[in-house]
Amino acid sequence: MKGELEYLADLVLLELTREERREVAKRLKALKSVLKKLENVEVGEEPPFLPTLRLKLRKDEPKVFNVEELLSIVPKVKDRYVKGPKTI
Amino acid sequence: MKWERLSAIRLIEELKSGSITSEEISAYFLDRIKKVDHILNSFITLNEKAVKEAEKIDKDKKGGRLAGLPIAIKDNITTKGIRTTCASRILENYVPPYDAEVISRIKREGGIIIGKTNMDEFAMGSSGENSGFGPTKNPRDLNRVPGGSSSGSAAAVAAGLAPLALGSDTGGSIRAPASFTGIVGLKPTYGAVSRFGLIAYANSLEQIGPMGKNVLDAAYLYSIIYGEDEKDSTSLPSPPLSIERISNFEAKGVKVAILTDLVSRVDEPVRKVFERGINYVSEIGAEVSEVKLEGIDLALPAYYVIACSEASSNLARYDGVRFGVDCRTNLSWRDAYKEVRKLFGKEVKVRIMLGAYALSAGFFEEYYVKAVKVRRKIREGLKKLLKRYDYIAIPTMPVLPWRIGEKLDDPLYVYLSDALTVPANLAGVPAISLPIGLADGLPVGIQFIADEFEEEKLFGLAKRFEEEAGELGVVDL
Amino acid sequence: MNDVKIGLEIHVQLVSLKTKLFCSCSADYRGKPPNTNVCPVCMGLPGTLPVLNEKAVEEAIKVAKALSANISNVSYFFRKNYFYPDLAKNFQITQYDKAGGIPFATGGYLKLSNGRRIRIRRMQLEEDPGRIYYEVGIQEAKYSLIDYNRHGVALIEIVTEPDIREPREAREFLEKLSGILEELGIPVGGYEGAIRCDANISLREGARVEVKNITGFSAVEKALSYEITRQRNLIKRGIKVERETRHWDERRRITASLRKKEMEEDYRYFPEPDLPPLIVRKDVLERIEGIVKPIEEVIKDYVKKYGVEEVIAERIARDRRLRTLFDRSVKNRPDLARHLASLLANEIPFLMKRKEIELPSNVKGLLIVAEARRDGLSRDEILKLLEDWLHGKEVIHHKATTLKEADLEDIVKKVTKKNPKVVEDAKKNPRALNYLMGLALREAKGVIDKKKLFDLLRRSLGL
Repeated sequence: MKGELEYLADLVLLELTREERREVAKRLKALKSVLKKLENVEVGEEPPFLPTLRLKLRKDEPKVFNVEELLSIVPKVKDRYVKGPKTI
Repeated sequence: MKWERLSAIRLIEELKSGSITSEEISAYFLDRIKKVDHILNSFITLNEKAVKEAEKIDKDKKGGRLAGLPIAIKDNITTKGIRTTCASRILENYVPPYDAEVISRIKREGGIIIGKTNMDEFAMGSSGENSGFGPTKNPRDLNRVPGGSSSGSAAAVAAGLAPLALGSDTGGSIRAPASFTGIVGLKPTYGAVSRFGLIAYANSLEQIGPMGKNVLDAAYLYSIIYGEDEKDSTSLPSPPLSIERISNFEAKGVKVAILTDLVSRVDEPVRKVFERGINYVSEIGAEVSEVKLEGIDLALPAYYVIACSEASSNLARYDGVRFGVDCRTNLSWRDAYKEVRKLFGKEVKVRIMLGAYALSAGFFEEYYVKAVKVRRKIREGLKKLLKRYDYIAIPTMPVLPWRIGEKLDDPLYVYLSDALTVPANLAGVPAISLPIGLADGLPVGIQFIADEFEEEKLFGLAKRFEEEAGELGVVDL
Repeated sequence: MNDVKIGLEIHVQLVSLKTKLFCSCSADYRGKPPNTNVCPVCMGLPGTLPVLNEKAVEEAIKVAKALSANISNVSYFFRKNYFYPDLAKNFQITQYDKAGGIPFATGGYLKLSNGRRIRIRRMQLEEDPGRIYYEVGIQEAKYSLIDYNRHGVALIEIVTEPDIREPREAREFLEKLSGILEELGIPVGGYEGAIRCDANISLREGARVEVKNITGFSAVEKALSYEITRQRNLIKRGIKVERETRHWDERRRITASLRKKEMEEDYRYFPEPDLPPLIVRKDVLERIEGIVKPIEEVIKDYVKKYGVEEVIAERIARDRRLRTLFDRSVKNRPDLARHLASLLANEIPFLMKRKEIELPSNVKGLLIVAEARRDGLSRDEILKLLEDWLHGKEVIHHKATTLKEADLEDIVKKVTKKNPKVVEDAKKNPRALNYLMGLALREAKGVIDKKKLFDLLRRSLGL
């Protein structure tokens, strides 16, 4: 279970502390037991279930947003760029 | 004057007539919150500007249909300029630059946002214990959970800290706390209320809905927020809602179906009170029948697969780069993101991981595709029933509110408590919870479900029921 | 190269749109200061929702039609989940062809000049990510700089079958595609980064290598040539070619292996719950069908209906202006089709290259030139008439100068006198006779009755 936990956590960029690992493993186990019922469901290919079947389209007309307000909530900005970590 | 005892509709009448001002009312409730809420922990952020905003409404005489009434908003609904945290440390200092559509509509009608209420982090939970800002307490019994995830909104209304509140419901998050705290809460039809500005947990399941002391209050708030929004591609037009028609609703001869499978599985004290509730339903003139719905026990696993899958994707954006907690740039980007995402609470991490698992190659057919099929079948089954019957009636919760911290070692217990509320989310149909009465001093709620866009019909039956069962009123803290 | 299989994955920006795919930010981001064309939606702020640009659907229909693809009545948007700083939501809204997904269009093809058909597997709509910059080299840098102006701009992804056999063909495909897009009003060639290409290449049923990050059509040819050479060398030395992702290093002119972690990511695709299914409305489809006909169909039409040569038909079909002129002229005078086609495919482009003028819309004048061609006027004379036509002058065809029988007799006399040896030959050899006929035709200035001329010639020879 541990290896699986590490793999899953890494997949979604989550890091678990040691005590968390125990608790998370327990809750995951409980949830998985809830999911067990699905085992007996037979299924072929199923089209996507999208509750709303009405397509909404937007006109191709530009609208301006107050960008300064937006940038003011970005944690780190340099020369209008959003500062982020290195991509390596 | 104990303004918190008056219904919201009555308060609005007073405001409109001018016997009280918005400033007075807002100051009153703000004051009450400051005095009482340290006991409940139902608010995360208070709008200190509320009184000034109320003053302006009084001055400009721009009352609108809310006439300057203060409203509490669940903290996963975006409010411009007011911190919005989803009860998560990762959004501890996030102040949104825009308003959710429902907030715009409330403001347009003169509503005052009094504060943002506590909740289970990112709406994941049924108790109110999963908050990054401490658990909320149930006003009816301070040792017990108020239910979740709209825990703060429910507690605030039940304790008279706000006359009305907005919550959100993904798997029961409005109805569960409404049931546990003894108030009224509606989960609208999927698409009836705009989700623009609702910080997403599970997009295909959730809706924002009203919470109030009584049925007409909830209906009134609903009448302000509902309606199609071009900014939400999944929103749909609703037929017009009339408070008057709700007030005059004729319940005689309506057909109500009870899902016996589900009822037989609830705890004894709950079932006893529920039976009382069914008697009330008969008393108001409805025809009650017992029915079975095949496959309903698959609803819970289907819900968790779909909700967690969507959540695992929705919560990927929290990386500290564009908003929220700052991410460190001197680490490689994967490590920097992990560092920020450490701040998620345990339950959030669990659900994100389960969702990734259900969507991952090799398990996608095992879980996600099956869940979608189950969902489709449940929706078909419920809609078929709702063609034969006007309503479905079941208890809202299978158990009474448990003690805070009591179930931390028994997560399965908490997960299973959603069993009665998730079917309505899966099917997209509207459902309302309102109090029947008390069991061992704790509130028990009844849940009515109707077909899509039949909110008026739902409120109508609930109104007649409430007249029979009575309101529980606010708790004096 | 029959042992080579190349497939292309092309991303085309819908530069004809004013706004982004899912929000109303202006899509015109080139040259703007960073993070100016942004809003809460394309910055992925919590609580925001995508709303589809209606014009994006129309453009997608046009492109699909032009490539003879089948447009799905219903298609779905899917989420492709991965983390990266240039992706605001850490998932991309795109379309998918598995797991119950249906892309916008499937099938379709483009024919190359050597006759090979390159089939298209699918076409889909998706959003462009943002751009990451570094002030210094990536190794020394302490942070990255991210600009979300481009984030959310509409892309069409076009994936071909591995039908391409040579690097040259890949380049031609891209050039042809670019030309078609320009004709549709989507001039990707004129915008930096508006058309990007990844290539998949495998030799002799070996492992498939993906080459990414190729910008520019000549770069595609170079990268693929290099990669084929690289793989052939490996095979010669008995080394197995590994399935991997490489990127084209323009500076060093090589393909280099990307890190392992960039491969085989589990994207956990699932349907985008915030967007309803994309249903293509019949009336929109019909309206666009009236505007855009698949190129290959147009070519086939011209060949079949008017007997135009395929090469000529293709040249006309690819250019909207030429096509329009042809369609309008040939409507009333289908008898002149081949002449019109020839003029439009050869002489007119030849003349226009040297000048900066607009193609006239004067159909009447063009028809006169076509008649002149039919009547046998020399090339120089035709060009002169076309010049008049291009400059908006009146086109006068000297129909009046129909040569009479006496003129024809003069021509016969002249030609036979000048070429006694050929005359002797012609009495026995039909080829020599034709040759004499050709000489006679060249002498004729004006409209002639060819049959009569031929008869006169034969008679003069005693045949």
